[in-house]
Amino acid sequence: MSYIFPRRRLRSADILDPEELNGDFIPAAELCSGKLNAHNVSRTVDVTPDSAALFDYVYEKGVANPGMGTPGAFKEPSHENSTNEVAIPNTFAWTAMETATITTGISKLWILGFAQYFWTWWDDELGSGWDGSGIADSSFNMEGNYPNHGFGGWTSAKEVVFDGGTQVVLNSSTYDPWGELATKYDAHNPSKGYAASGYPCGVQFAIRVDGQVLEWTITGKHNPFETTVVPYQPADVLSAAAFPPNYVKRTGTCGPEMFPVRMGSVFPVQAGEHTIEVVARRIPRSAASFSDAADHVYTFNRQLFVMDMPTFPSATASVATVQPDALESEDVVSAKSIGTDGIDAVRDALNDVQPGYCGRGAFTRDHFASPVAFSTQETFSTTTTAYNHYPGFSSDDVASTTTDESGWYLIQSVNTASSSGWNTTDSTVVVVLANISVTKMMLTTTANPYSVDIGNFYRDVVASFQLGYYRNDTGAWVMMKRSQGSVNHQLWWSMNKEKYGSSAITDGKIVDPGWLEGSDNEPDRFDVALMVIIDDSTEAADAIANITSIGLFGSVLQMGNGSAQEDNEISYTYDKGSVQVFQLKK
Amino acid sequence: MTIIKDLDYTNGNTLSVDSHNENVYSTTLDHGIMSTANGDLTDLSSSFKCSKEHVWPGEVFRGHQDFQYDTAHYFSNTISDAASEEFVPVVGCALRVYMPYDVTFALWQWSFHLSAFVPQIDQLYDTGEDRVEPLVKMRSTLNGATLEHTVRAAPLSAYLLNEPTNVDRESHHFEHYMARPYDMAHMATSVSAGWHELQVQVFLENFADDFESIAMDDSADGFTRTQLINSRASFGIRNARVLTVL
Repeated sequence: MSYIFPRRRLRSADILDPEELNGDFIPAAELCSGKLNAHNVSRTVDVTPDSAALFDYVYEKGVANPGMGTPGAFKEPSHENSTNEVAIPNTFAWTAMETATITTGISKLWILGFAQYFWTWWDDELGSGWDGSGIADSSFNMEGNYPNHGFGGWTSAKEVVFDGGTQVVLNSSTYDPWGELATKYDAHNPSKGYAASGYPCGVQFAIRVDGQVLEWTITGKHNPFETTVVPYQPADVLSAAAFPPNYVKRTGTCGPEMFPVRMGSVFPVQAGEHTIEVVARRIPRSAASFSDAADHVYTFNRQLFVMDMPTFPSATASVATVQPDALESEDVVSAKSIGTDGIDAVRDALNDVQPGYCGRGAFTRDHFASPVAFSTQETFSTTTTAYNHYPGFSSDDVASTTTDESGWYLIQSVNTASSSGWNTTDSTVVVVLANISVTKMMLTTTANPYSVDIGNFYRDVVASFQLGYYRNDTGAWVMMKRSQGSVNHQLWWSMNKEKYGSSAITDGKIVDPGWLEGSDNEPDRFDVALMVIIDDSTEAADAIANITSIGLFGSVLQMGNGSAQEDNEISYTYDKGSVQVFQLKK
Repeated sequence: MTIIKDLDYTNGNTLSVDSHNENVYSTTLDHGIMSTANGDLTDLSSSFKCSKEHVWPGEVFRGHQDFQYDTAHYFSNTISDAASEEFVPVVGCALRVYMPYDVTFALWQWSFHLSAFVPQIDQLYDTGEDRVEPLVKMRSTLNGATLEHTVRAAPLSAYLLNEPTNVDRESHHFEHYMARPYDMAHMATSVSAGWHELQVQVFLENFADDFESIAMDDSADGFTRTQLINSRASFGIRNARVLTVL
């Protein structure tokens, strides 16, 4: 409340008017009855916030193992390996992948969402055996279409449709969802060289709040069917021979067969309970048959973090009052009436301010210590090629070097020792974000590129990343597998190279001299965005107090790979990235 | 500091006017109930904990964002100069905010969907050059300074074999496969109050300037056609946002 002043200054000859005497302390009593605010409380005061007074949050997660195996037994990701994946129906409808609810006042929500999707099954709709039903019939010899997938053999895959949103397994078969039809001569022909038959994955993710998809969070284009012009420009536009414009379709969605998708928003909400979701949908390739098409996308790991940042004080202020006895006409002015029951009562109240004396929005930043216990960012910019192998979804094994070792390789760490400000005593929540620029994923071969069907295998190369923390008390890293994200090499031309090639050929150079000689390119150029939330509910009770480092880890595998493609023959290269960590006192 | 009592009222004594006035309002610190309540209250209850309703909005956490839906296309022959890396802002993927007070950190985040036509061109018909791989890359700047850890190159997405008899204009494009989302972050710590601006920018190497004879010829129907080729970066739905914490 604003400043208060006495209406008059008592002088010796004044008549003691009860109204004027009341004016000496009643305004202060009124002020002290739920109206104290930042004008009244000294800015030197440090106010202790109650639990969730400054912010509140909710964190939901789902952990699903895509089952990519372990060294010596790498295999394709499949929903058969998990019981906790969420299917994205081919119905063009937004479907919840993860859901959180939170009750707020008038607030802004800071939302972070994460979803790792895998395209785990497809049919060759362009193939001769496609009957349009979405179910590969016996005449459609898919296995015959993929004769050259040499590693790992066939793994089973389920055939799935949706009945009223419920996933129904129609058929269990033995087709290989990640098999590829490619020969060295097909390597330039995507319509033949890809199991996906020339289609992108066609999935979009977004954040949905109270049933409304936040359109600015959609991972795609506003018009998902937008066609985009190919930037060919006729040299002579007036020539009768000039080509008409050429367009690319289906660029408005996520194209890769697997990808970790992170998204977020700042969104204002009204008071009440809110439902926040990470949602996904698939964009149809064709009209009629797509909803029953035999290819499906599944979300495996997913996370949703929602932080409530109040923007208007809640209406439910708890008010306490100070009630001195007011003087009335003909009352005796006594020690009790003007002192004990009057001025003294108000003074006592002001000397022991209760929460209920304070109004809505009473305290400003001057009255709070920062809730930030720790905040830092680490960046890295050294181009590194690593060969350490994916040790398995649940493994905490750490590779000590970049080469030929099973385990997660530490790409970048953030020092969270208590000496760096890390809070080990209060109840806290930790938010970790990471980005890594993956420039290429490689498959080398000892064989002459001309002598093998080099196109078969390169898309099977997968790099996986995740976040972990180091416990000083146990001396071990703990991997947070809910943060695990995977990407596969997807450039359609081969990235095979001779393992023991000439000295002029370094990692990353394509060596097929007839087609792709001399390129030192970086064909993948993914940005992998990860996140994880750490609090008392996600980790062991004493974990946060013992964390002395948070790390970003990487590894590589080749799907369907038995033992043939190991020994430094698969690799991933990254060139820069960052890790952000902040810890908030609750 | 506790408000000091200047007058202890007692029955039978003359009321001290000056002391009474000091009890009500004083120019001396920690005297007077009204004067102390005018910004000098310090004595909170020992168990005092402020509740959610007591926190003035935006005093600890602040969040802002801006966004754009419509796809923005950038072509290499319209915005760049091969002699230098000229980055231009990506419309709708920027945020300019005023921070009214110093904050412990500002977490900048930005998202965009990118589909890019970035060709790899082999065996140039006219020049005999081995290969062209035009560079397309994005970066972010904060208050005009490049955030080096945010620089990302767009993936190659088309293969063009430039031979007169072996040209397929359509089936070597993989832009739809390479379309992908980006969600990136940068944390600035100990940020001073004032205006701050994040921009996402794009650079497209104008390779056509260097290789004017890059051409796609097709004589299948008897015509000989020459087409200049450019690269393109198309930004789908995008946003930029910031979280600041006291």
